[in-house]
Amino acid sequence: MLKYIGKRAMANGLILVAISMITYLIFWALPVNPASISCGTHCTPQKIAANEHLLGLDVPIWVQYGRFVKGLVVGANYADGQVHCSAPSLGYSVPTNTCVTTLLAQKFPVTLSLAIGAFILWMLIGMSMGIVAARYRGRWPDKAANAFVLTGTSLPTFLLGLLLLIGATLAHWIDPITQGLWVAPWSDPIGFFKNFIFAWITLAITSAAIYTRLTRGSVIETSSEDFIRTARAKGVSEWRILLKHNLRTSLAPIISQAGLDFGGLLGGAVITEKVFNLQGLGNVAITAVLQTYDLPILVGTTLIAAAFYLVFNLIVDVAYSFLDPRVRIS
Amino acid sequence: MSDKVLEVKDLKMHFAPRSTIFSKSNAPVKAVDGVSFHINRGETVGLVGESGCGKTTVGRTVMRLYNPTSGEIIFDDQDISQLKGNELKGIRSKIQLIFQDPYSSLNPRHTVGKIIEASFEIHKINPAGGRTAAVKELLAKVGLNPEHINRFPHEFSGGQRQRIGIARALALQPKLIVCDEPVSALDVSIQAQVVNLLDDLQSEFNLAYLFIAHDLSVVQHISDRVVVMYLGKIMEIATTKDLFAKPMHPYTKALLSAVPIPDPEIERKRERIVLQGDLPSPANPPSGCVFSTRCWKATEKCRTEVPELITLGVGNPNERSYACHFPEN
Amino acid sequence: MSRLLEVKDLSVSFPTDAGVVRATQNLSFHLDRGETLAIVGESGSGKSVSSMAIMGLHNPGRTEISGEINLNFGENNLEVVSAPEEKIRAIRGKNVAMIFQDPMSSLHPYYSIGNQLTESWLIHNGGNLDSKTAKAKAWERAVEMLDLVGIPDAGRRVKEFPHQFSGGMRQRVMIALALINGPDLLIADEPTTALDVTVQAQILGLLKDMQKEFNMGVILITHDLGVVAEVSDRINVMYAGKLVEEGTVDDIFYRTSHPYTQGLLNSIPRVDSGVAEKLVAIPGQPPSLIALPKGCAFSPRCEYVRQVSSHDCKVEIPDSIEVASGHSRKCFLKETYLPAGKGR
Repeated sequence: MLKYIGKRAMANGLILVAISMITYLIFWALPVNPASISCGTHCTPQKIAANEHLLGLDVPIWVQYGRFVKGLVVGANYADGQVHCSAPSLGYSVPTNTCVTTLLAQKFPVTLSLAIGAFILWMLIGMSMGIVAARYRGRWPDKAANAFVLTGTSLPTFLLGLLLLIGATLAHWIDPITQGLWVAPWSDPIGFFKNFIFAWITLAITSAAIYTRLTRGSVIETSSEDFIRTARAKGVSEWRILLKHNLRTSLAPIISQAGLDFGGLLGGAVITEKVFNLQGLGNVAITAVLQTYDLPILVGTTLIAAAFYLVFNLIVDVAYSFLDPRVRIS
Repeated sequence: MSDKVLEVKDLKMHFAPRSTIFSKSNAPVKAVDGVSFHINRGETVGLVGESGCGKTTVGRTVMRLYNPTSGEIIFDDQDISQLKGNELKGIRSKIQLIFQDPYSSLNPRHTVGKIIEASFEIHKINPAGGRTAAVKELLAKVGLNPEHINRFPHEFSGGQRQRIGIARALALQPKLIVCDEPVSALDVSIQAQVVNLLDDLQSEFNLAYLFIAHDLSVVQHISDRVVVMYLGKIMEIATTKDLFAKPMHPYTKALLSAVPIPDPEIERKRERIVLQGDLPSPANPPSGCVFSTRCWKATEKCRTEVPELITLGVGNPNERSYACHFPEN
Repeated sequence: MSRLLEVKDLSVSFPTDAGVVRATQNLSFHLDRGETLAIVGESGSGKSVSSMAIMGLHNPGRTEISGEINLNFGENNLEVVSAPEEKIRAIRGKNVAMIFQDPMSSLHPYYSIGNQLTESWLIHNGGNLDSKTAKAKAWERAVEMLDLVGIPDAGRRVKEFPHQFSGGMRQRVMIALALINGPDLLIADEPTTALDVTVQAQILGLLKDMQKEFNMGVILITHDLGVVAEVSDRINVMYAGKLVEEGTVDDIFYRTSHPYTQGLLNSIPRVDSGVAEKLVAIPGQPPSLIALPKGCAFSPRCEYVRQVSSHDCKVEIPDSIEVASGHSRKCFLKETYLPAGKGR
């Protein structure tokens, strides 16, 4: 098992290298020069050249990439030697004047809080609604769940987010000025909760709807299996059949989906973070793309998102082997 | 042209197990391990044995759905065991397959006409009178209404679907049809209809069948000769009459004695040889005779020395072979 | 003494969008302790549906059911059709148990054999024992049962999972599971159909031994007349949801009275027949249970239809007539017994 995990981890490392290269190539191929964006209105070719030197864009792309890798391993100096970022350095962001690693480390708790809260919420809602819908298939709980699924999946995140934000502000549940400013859950639990609760709901509704459908479908599919009939013939009660015999089997597709979704979420939830002014990775990334054209931040956030995605993919596969004895090592 | 439509010589089909994410690959599974037999033109040879004995693999390897590990497959005086590409495609039209499950082997989105016509399409054959007419003729031959050419598989019952499968197999006028459990998914009364149909078609087109089945009573009914397999090897080959009346291999004897007879009087009096235990793993077969672990006659010799397949009366119509150190009778 | 099982006028149907599927109609039969009743018929004849009804395993929301199913276990009696779900559940797995065709898919792939066996025991016996001792006792019982059904090294294998067993061994596990609470009635639904003949012989032998051990009534549902001849005492022959002939095993095989039974017997090849003659197939297909033919459901396939002068088989539905004590059929034919056909 350990050997397997090691193998997979190595493969994942290679994938990350490839992703970083592709990000560099895409950025390089774009017909925009970051050096001229930060140059201002009175721009001269000299200024652009100076900016390019400052940003480290005056050398060929493979040298840029080489510097990036070097920084990752041993740390590096940036902005013509004025700044030093220690390893693992994902680069230096000129517009924000910080080391990317430091910046992302600051923003990560926000994204992590958002992701964990929303994930718990949607798994709880989605799975329980899915189970109840499957148990009372065709009857009113099922119909109610179906209505929820349709609403949840068709409601755009930004719209729901905005509605919740406006409503909560008008009801004085949240303060629009301080909303989104980071407070750690251990220093101010209530403030933390207030900061995130509506963002969690916003992010969770659509996924909860998707997981309701997924759980319902999976449970219903399993319920036609022969071993469910056997359990019934043993005299096991319907709820016990559902929770012990059915759910464990139905869990497989749900877990694989949940792992990937959670992994993806850790890369940042752009729309929700933007709406609720949460300074997480998504917000940073979108600013870097749209406004400052900040390559080091882009590469950094892309790699982090990809890394989480891959790690959770691996976790899902390992979790599978605990669920199903047939794939367990003998 | 020889009398034999098919001759298999020392055929081996070993599968290297897929290395899964949790385990390294182990010893190869010897699904078929040195099998030799032949089928004459217009003859039905039954191939029987328990599940996992390799009978289905033999059928598929003969059809060249697999690339055999070693050995010869001589079809129509030509070794087809190593053929590739177009040459193989040419041979495939002459060997056809009838599957066990008539439903999953028919494309549910195609009409019956299209399913059967596909054979002509693939092999670029234009029968005289046109393809549609040929398909209708085939449907009539297998006892279906030719007017139903535009219906879909789900509009037919299980037995009728098996007839569609047979019509498809007949389309290219094959010389040999491999029937893999063709009636085991059908109800008893329908089974008899299909068995009779196969009988009729054989005499009409001089077809040879390799009839693979676990149901010995059906095999006995339809076959001229029977090959008994166990764990990838041939235990016994004999004419149907000899095999069922005087089995020489203890395994054949045990197999026959296990088949229930639909006659309560006989069942009450019958002495039964009940084999103990299960089939050993084909990845790790027993040394010596593969049957030795379950054989009541096994001695030290059986456990160490592999019995050769001995043929009695070579060339005469009652030729029979067995692989046993201590044959019955 | 009242009978272990008495089914009266049982009808089960499933309303669907295409129409009402009449799975069984007016079924009446009985079973005593120590007796084996075979229910024979082709797919769609209603043989499995009636056994599911005895277990109370039909889906109440999607099934229309009428008639009576009386179970009598000595002190506790139950009429299954009208009983509430909790009462049926209390006897399911305890007094009435079932084994199925495919032992692989019938066992839960994720739980150990021991887990599945003990669950069955604990549900019906764990109530008044505190959990730890109950569990220990249940595991003891599970090992004992595996040993009884002939699984070598039961103490070790009880911890293994279904995929680690061979087909025959899995069916033994299923039997152990069904018998762990010492049931009064065992329903075996095609128990050997998925198995090889050599294994089939072992399993049939085991079932016979277990029947003696527990003094059970056994209902054997099968399409294989060879198996029927080997193990059953009495036979119910079903066609299109109806019981067309019932009698002792000798009645059915040697004093065949219904044309369908005769057709079935003639259409099976036999290993002991020596020469290969043409099989006598029953022409046509079994009818759709949504649109049953008028009159006798077998009449479109029956070769005797024209020989009946007193009734019109295609209009009138024949009632059950007793041709001899304990032997009855649903047919208008004048002759009581039908000759054995070719090939027999």
